[in-house]
Amino acid sequence: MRLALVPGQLVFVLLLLYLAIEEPTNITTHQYIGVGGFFTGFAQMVSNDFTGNWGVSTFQQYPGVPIVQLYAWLLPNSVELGAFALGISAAIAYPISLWAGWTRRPGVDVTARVTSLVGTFLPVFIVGLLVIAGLFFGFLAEFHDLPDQGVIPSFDWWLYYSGGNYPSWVIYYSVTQPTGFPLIDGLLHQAWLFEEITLIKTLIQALVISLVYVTIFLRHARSVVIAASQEFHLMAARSRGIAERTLLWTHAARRVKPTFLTVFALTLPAYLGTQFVVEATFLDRGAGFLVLSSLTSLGGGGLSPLEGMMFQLAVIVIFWLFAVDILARRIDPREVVAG
Amino acid sequence: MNSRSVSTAPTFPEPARAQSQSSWRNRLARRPLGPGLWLGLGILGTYLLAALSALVVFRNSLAQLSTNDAWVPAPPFFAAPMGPSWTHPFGVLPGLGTDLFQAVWQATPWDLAIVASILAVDAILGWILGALAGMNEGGLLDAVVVFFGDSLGSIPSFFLVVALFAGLATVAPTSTGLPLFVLLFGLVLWPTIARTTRERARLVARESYLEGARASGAGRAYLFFHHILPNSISPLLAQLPIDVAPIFFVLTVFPWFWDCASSRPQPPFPPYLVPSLPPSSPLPSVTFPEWGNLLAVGTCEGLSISTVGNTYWWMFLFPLLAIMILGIAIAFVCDGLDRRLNVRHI
Repeated sequence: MRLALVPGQLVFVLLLLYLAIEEPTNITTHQYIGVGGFFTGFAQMVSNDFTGNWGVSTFQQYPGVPIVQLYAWLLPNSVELGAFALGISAAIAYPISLWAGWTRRPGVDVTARVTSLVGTFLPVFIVGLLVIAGLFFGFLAEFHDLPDQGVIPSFDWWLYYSGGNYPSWVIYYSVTQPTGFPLIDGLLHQAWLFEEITLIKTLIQALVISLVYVTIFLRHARSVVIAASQEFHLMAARSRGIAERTLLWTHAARRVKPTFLTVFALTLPAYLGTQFVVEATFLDRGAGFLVLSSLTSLGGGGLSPLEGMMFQLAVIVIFWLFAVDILARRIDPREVVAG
Repeated sequence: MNSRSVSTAPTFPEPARAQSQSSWRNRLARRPLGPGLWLGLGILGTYLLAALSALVVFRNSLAQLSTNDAWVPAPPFFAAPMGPSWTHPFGVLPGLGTDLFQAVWQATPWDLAIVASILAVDAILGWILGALAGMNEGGLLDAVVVFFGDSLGSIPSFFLVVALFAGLATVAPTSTGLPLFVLLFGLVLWPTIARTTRERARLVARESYLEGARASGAGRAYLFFHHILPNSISPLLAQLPIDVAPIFFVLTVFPWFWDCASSRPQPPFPPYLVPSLPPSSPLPSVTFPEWGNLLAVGTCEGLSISTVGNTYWWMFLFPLLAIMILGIAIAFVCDGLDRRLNVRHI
C-alpha cells in the first residue's frame, strides 16, 4: 500500500512544481498554453526534469551556462560540506539526545529544553556572522585569508601567495577540477596549504550548521528517548540489575535508532535550510547560493533553476520516508507483533 | 432472573455521560498551572497588551514605520549610528531612519496576527487530518492524508511557500500579499503535525479503553471527538512551537540575503545601507513594521563583514529578542498544556 503511493506522490510534486514555477513563467512570457495545452506543457516539463534539460542560467555570474552544468559545478561543494556537517551533527546529537532524554536530573532537562528552543529560534546567519566576527582578525593573521568568502582560499590569499593567479584547476573562483570536491581536488593536486585552509574553513561552516541543527534535532529526539525509557522491557532489565549505562547505550539506544532515522527524515528540510543559509552567510558558492539567489531573483536568476533541484530533493525525501517506514517495521519488535 | 436481582444490579453510566466527566475542562482542572505555563501565559499576555496598545497608539499609520531623515547617515561625514539611550531605548536603525523601540512595538500586532493565523491553519489541518488518518489506519482516508502530507512535506517548507508565493505573485500581482502568504504557509506546514499525530492516533485507536467504549455502543464520531482527538494532542503541542521558526526564517532570511549577502552594489561607506525587499516578499514595503524585516535590516547594518570590530549590536538584538521570546513563550505554554492534558503525565 505504502509503495503504491510513491509514484503518485512524485507526480503530485511535479504537478505542484509545474503550477508554482513553470506555468507562471509561461504566462509572463505570453506563452500561456491554456487548458488544452496543460498536459502537453506538463509532459514537457516532466520530460525535461528527467532528461536534465533544465534550461540555461541567467545569473550574471554564470551567463549562458546550462543549469545542469551549474549544479555539476556547485553541488559537490555543498555535498562535501554536508558530509562534514552531518558527521559532526550525528556525533554530537546522538549521545546528547540519548543522555538528555534518559537522565532525570531537572537541571539537565531544563538546560536541554532551553538550549533546543534557543537554537530553534536563533537565525543561523546570526550565529554564522558572530563566528565570522570572532574569528576574523585571528584567521587573517594566521592564514592571510578571510574566514568567509567560501571554503576555498579567497582572492586575497591567492594574491598573497601567487600574485592573484589561480591555478588552472580552479575555475570561476570557487569551482575546483577534476572532481568538483575541493578537498579531494586539493589532495589530487597535492596543494597542501590549500588543503589545510579549505579543511579548516569547511570545519568552521560544518560546526555552525551542527550547532544549530543539533538543537533542532534534540527537541524531537529527546521526547523519543523519554518514551523509550518508560517501556516495560527496560524496567524489566533494570529489575534484573543491569547497569544504567548498559541500559542506556545498549538497550535504549537500539530501540531509538529507527525513530532517530524518522526524526532525521522529518527534519531534513530544516537541515537543508540551515546549510543553505550557512553557505550564503560564508559567501560559499554551492547549492545554497543557487537556491537563495533563485528564490530572491537575485543576480538575474529566476525560479527555473529551482525546479530540478526541488524535484531531486522531493524524490530523495519521499524515498527516504518510505525506506524509514519499511526499516522501522522490520526493526521494531512491536510493529512485527502488531502486524 | 428475578426482580430483586435486577433492582440491586450495579448500573453503568451511558458512554456519553461517562465521557462528559472527562471533558476538556476536567482535563485542564486535573493539575494546577505549572510555573512554565504561568510564565508562558504571562509573556504572551504581555505581547497581547503590547499589540493592543500599538493598535491605539499607531492607529493612524499602523502599516508604516515613522521615519526621521535626521537619523539617516548622510554624506559626507556619515555620523555614527545612535545606540540605546533614554530617548531611544532600543537605539536607532539608520538604514530605515526609525526608532527601533517604536518599530518593534508597532510590529507586534502584525507579527502576532501572522503567527497566530499560520499556526491556526497549520494546527487545525494537521491535528484533525492526522487523527482521522490514524483512526482509519490502512483505509482510504489514511492513504489520502499520507499521500498529500508526505508529498507536501517532501519539499522544504520555505522553498515551497516562497516558490508558490512568487509564482502567484507573477500571475496575479495585485491579489497577493500577507493574507495569501499566511494561507499558503499554513497549507504547507501541516504535514509534520499530521504525520506525528497520525502515529499517536494509531496507537490510541488500539487502546483497550477504546474497545470498551466501542463495546458500550459509542459511535465513530463520538470515539473520534472524545477519545482519539484529545489523546492525540501531544504531537500537536510538541510541534507547534517548532513551526514558529520557519515563519520567521522566511520573513528574515530572504530580505537579509537580498540586502546583505548579495552582490548588489551597496553605498561605499559602512554601516550605511539602503534596504529594500526582494521581489517575492509578502510585505508591502520595506518600511512595513515586521520583526523579521527589522532583524534582517538590523543584522545587515549592525553585524556584517563591513562592521567587524565595531558591531552595532542593538540593531539586531532587540528584534531578535522579540522573536525568540515569543517562540519560547509559545513553547512553554504548549509544554505546560501538554503536561495538563496528557493522561500519561498524570
